[in-house]
Amino acid sequence: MRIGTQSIMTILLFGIILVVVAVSVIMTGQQVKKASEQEKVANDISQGASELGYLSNDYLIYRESQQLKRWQSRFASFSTQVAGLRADRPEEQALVRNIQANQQRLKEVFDSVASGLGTSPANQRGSLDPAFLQVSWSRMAVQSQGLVSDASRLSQLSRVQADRLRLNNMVVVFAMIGAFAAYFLINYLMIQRRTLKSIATLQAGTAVIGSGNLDFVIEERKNDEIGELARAFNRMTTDLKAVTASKADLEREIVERKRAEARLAYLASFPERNPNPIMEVGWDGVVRYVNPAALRLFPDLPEKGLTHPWLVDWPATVRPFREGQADTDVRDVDVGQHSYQQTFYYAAPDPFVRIYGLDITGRKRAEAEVKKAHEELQDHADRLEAANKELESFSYSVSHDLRSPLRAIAGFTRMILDEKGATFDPETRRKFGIIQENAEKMGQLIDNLLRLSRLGRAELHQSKLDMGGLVREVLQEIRMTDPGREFVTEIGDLPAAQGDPAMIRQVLANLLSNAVKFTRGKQGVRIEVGSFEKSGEQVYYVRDNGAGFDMKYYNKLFGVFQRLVSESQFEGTGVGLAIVQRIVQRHGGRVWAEGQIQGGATFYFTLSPKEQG
Amino acid sequence: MNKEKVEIVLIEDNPADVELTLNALKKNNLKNNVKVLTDGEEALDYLLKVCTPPGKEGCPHLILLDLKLPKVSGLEVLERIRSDNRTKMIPVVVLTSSAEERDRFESYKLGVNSYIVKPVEFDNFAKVVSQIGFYWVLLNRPPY
Repeated sequence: MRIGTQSIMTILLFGIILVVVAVSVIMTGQQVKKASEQEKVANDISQGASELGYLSNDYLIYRESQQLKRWQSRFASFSTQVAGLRADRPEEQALVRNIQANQQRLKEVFDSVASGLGTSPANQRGSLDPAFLQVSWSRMAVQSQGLVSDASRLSQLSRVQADRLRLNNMVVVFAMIGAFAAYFLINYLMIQRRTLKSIATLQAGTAVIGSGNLDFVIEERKNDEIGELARAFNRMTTDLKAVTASKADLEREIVERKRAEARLAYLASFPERNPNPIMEVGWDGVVRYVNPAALRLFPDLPEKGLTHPWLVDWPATVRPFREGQADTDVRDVDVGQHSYQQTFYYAAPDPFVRIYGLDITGRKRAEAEVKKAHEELQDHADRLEAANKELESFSYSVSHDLRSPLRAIAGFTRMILDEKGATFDPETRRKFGIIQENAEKMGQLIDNLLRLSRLGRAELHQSKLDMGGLVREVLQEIRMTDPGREFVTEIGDLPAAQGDPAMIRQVLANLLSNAVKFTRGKQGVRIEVGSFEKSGEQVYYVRDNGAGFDMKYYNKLFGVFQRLVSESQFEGTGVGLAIVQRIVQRHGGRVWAEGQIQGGATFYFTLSPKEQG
Repeated sequence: MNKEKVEIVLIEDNPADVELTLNALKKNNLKNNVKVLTDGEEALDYLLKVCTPPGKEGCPHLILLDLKLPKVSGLEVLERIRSDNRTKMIPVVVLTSSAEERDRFESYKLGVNSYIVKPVEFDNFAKVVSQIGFYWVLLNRPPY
């Protein structure tokens, strides 16, 4: 129960008790008053009865009408008094009935006495019977005494009643006061007990909360004011916590905002301090952002707007962005003496485009120079190509135009010899023979030269080469051309290589036929073919123990038409080694040789095991 | 064999080669059946004349064609022989000094029947020409 309610109830109870006490006092008072009045009436009746007794005595003594009238008058008032008697309780009612009955009998007695005596004065009638008087007097006295006794008795009863009522009243009042006092005391103790306890809890709670623990919740046990207070306190704590928390949030937010601002400033420094021009321009040409570098480079940009060369052709430039066809684009513009590359980024969803500029003047110049150089180079290449074509055409002519006359020389010489040879002396026939030989020789020269020139142009058809197999094939062919030659071959371990089979075969054929050729006339000819690895390269070699060569003339060894030996010693066109060199070089390899006069020669070449471009 | 009937048309402008060729063909007794023409234009005119209608008597069974010719080149002559219905089936053998790959490829592309590089040595040359004559005129069965 709430303390307020309890208090109100206490006050209410107090009021009720007051009212009850008051009512009781008033009622008791009235009853006491009534009892007192009754007592007084009873006393009056008692007195009236006594008086009536005296009056009747007087009358009896004097028997005068005056006394009779006085008695009758007094009796009338006495009757009125008797009629005013009110009795509630049976005992009193019995007394009242007795009094009324006695009153009637007194009247009857007096009337009978009066009628007996008449109204003649005593001195006139003095002759009355004393017994009669005595009886009347006694009867009258009995009645009067009865009345006095009853009235006194009634009076006493009334007084006792009043006293009892007073006592009762006092008992009630004291009982009420006592009960109230007891209730008040108990109530007070209860309220104090529970209030103090709750307040103590509250106090302890507030002390905890006051120490900073906002998470503490005060026990809300009672549904009274203290409970409300505890609830209010808890609400306050919650609010305080929220406020405190929001304060912490706010502080954190401030810190974060400061950090974000710093970050923003840091990020903004990128375009701001970028030495290249950066800006954001709307599709309509409105410039929303320009970085300091752009302003420095194009101070007249704000004034000129879209007429500035930086924004040349603007509507056409932004059309792809406006029509949603592109998010980014690049173009070059010239501003004054400088060229810039502009990279555009659509600043979606705004109708703006970001321009990142880059000064490419130097690059453009370099490009122009490169282009010029390239053009010059191309020009050179074209001329070279033309020269090559010319050379090719020349080779073709050589092939055609030199062969025919040679054939004619040889052919007609032969025809002359066939038709007239029989008549010629040996010397003439020998000279014709020389003509024929030279014509044939020249034919071979031309063929070799053409082959060499074709080698420079022919495409390489590379594949994996079985070097050992190739060497054996070539040696077999050489033996078939000259079955009489005797020589020993020693073929080492030859790893596979990558190359054009026909061309490498030609290399081996030239080197091996050279070896065979330059060992002619020697005893114990040995031709060695081998391979080794050196500095990551696969080196193949052909070694003979033949005529060899003088290293002094090494630089002429691989030259076209260069011969280190005389024609009379060893035939040849001087093209074979040049062809070897050309083929190996085209395969990305190298050729070199070692030799000494009459000490044999070794020819080396390298081939990559991997394909060459 | 009819002594005067043209079996071979030799299109060659070099008189020395003509003589050497004829000399070589003499061995097959074909010398008198050779018609020599020294330029392409002339050769085409002749061929179209003797081969109308196609397969007519006098239309050669073999054309020996040099590539290096004045006016109309040998390859062009070949192209026109092959593009005309009257001459397109006549066997054509290119006999040339050119060993060039492009000439060879081009000739085969245009439908030559054989491509022979003239050997430099006369002996070989004579042998080769003689063999050509033997094969294409005496051994081979012509379309007509």
